[in-house]
Amino acid sequence: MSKGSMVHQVSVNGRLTIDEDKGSIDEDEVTTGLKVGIPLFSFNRSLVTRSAPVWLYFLVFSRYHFFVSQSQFLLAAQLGVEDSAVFRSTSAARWLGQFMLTANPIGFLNFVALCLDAGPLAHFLPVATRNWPTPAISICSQGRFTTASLEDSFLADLEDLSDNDNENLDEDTGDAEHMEDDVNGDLADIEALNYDDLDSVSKLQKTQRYTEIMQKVEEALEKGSNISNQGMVLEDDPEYQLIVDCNTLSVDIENEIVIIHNFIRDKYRLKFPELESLVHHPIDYARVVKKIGNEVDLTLVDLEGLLPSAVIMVVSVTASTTSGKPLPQDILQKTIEACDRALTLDASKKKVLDFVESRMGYIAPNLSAIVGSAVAAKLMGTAGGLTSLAKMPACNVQLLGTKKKNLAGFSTATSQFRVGYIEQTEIFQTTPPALKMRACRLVAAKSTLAARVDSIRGDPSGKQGRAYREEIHKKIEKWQEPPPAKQPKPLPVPDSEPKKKRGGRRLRKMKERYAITDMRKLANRMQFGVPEESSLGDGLGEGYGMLGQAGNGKLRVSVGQSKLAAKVAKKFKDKQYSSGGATSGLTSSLAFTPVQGIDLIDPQADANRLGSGTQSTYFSETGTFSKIKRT
Amino acid sequence: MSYLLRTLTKKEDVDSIIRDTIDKLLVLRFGRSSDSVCLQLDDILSKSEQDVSKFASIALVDVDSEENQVYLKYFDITLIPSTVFFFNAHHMKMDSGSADHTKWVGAFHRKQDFIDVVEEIFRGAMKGKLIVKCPLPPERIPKFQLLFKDV
Repeated sequence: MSKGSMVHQVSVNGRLTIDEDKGSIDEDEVTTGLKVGIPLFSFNRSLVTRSAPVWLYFLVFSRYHFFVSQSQFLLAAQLGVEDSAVFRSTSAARWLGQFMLTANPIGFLNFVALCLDAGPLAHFLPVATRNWPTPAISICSQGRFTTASLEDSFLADLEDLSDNDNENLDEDTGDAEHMEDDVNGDLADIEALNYDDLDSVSKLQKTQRYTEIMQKVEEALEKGSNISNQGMVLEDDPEYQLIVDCNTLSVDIENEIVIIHNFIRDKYRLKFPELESLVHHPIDYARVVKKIGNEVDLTLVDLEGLLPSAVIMVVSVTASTTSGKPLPQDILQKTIEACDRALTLDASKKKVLDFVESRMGYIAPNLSAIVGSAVAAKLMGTAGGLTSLAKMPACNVQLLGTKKKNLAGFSTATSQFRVGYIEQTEIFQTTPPALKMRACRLVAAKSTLAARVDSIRGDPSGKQGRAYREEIHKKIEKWQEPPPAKQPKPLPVPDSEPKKKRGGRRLRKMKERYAITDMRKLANRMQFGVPEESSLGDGLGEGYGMLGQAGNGKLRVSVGQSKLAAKVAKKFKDKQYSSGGATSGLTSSLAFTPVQGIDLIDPQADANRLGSGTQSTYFSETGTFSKIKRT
Repeated sequence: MSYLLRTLTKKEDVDSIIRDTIDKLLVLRFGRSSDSVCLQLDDILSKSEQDVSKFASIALVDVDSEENQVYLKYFDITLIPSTVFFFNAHHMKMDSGSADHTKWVGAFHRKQDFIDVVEEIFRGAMKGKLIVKCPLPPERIPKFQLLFKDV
């Protein structure tokens, strides 16, 4: 019997419930439960579909611990495969298959056959049968492996049950806890971390490699700068190897710090959840957590020097309204431990970087000629080595080391965007602010070239780097020159350049307003031999031309819609009704007429009349064509 | 101011300049460099010389030299400063509302006025006209009285 404190019970609705304080895992209960459960499942197929992964897990667990026999297992698996769409998902099937492959080969083959029959070929087969020879697959597909018939095997199993007592049921509580975690999570995620223990999360400090390299680095730092000017066979130099190792180590330390930061964050979330969004940098976060500890009142905690004062203020204010509760002592202990570990990792990273920096003139002379050895060391460290730095495009080099700025509240202080370690170079600091972005890009480009030269050891003396530096300085100087003075130009010869005529819809519409109307055109013409009418009669006054004469082909000449007039009318209307100041206070929209009584006057009616008078009076505005034939 | 512009004292100079200015308007100012109104005019001429240099050239004719008296008689110059315009050896006239169309008497009020006049004459000349209308409003045209001998 196992000494577990939890019991898994199959409840009627098909969900696993955890029944605490039930004593040990009782084999009899489990099997009875199974015997009840499996037929239940067979009746309630919909249940199987929904809770398949859980159920499936339980099934496999039972099989693993020999609570069910092979035949029972197969039956249940068959039920699962037939009914459950969820079971057919890749991860569940794969997991089941992997398990069965190791535990029960024949059962596995049967299972494959089941799957092939049921149909989830595409999901299951390629994964499981990756290493199989083709005959095996064909055998499986031809049919099942037959043992005894299922019913007979059931009967046989009933007698077998009592023999399973002495199997190893002494699984410790660790497994039960694992199960508990896993059951709550995704079945397929086998690598669920056990967060209780820091060591399982962060392993770097315990590794051999780490301690070795740190030792060597410390020795080398104490020895001082020992420049060996070989330049020839560099790769054999043990120091070069150490430097390469240092680079990879610094990247590893970075990753490790991130993992530890996640760990601390998760633990500290119970106490102060908002802190992670206020303080982004992992090391700062670790320091702050260490300082605050389990303190509830943040006025007793002095965060000076750890954070900028604006952030301290925000943190204190947030802490007073936080929803967190103080941590229990053991979790607090673990958190503080993790913080310490993060800080030591940070310190060792600094040491590594110092060491690399001191050797930088030897490793990468051209690069350090341009940006300085400190920045060069940082760049190399972040990139993960000189060759990786050389492989990066210049735009990436520019962004190495950018910090995510945390603007609290409504602050609109714009940080210098898109500048990383390059910001710390002397060249960048001495350029005027207007040219900083261009200078940054230039420095990044040249330093990439220098890094490439250094990665193949093309110029050990650093002459190329100095040449680049000169070039950069010259370019920045040139940018700062004033523009040449403007010469007064003589006037161009009149009428020598033809006027640019514009065209287009807009111009046409504008011209239309001033175009000659049809009425005027008619008035301008005269019929032959027919004297025209005139305004004053008898040939005096303005002549009417063809207007109003018989036989000019037009039935009625009405005043066409003059667009100019329409525009003027619109302006007039707007002016009238938007002036507001000139209307008398006694006007109202109500009018009393003797015939109809109260008559509400529409104030827009007058304006509308102006427009509607020019509408065509011949054609109806509501009627349409009676028949339109499609051709 | 007149040292900035070309001053012509000899008759041959005047002849050659009238003949040799091709496709550009020639502005000849007749006057004395010591006269105050002439100085004003000269100031404006020198300032605008570079601006109109593409379509006009400017020269000063000294009224006091003996060789130029012929020209004074020919153009009937009695008031100074007087400005005469030529285009391709043709004498260009301008109707500015005054009695005399053949020349411009007096100074200009502004540099822009002068440039306007020059441009107008140039346009007219390019079109083939020999007389153009003055673009300036009458208040900016210097008034003068012509005294006839016998009247």
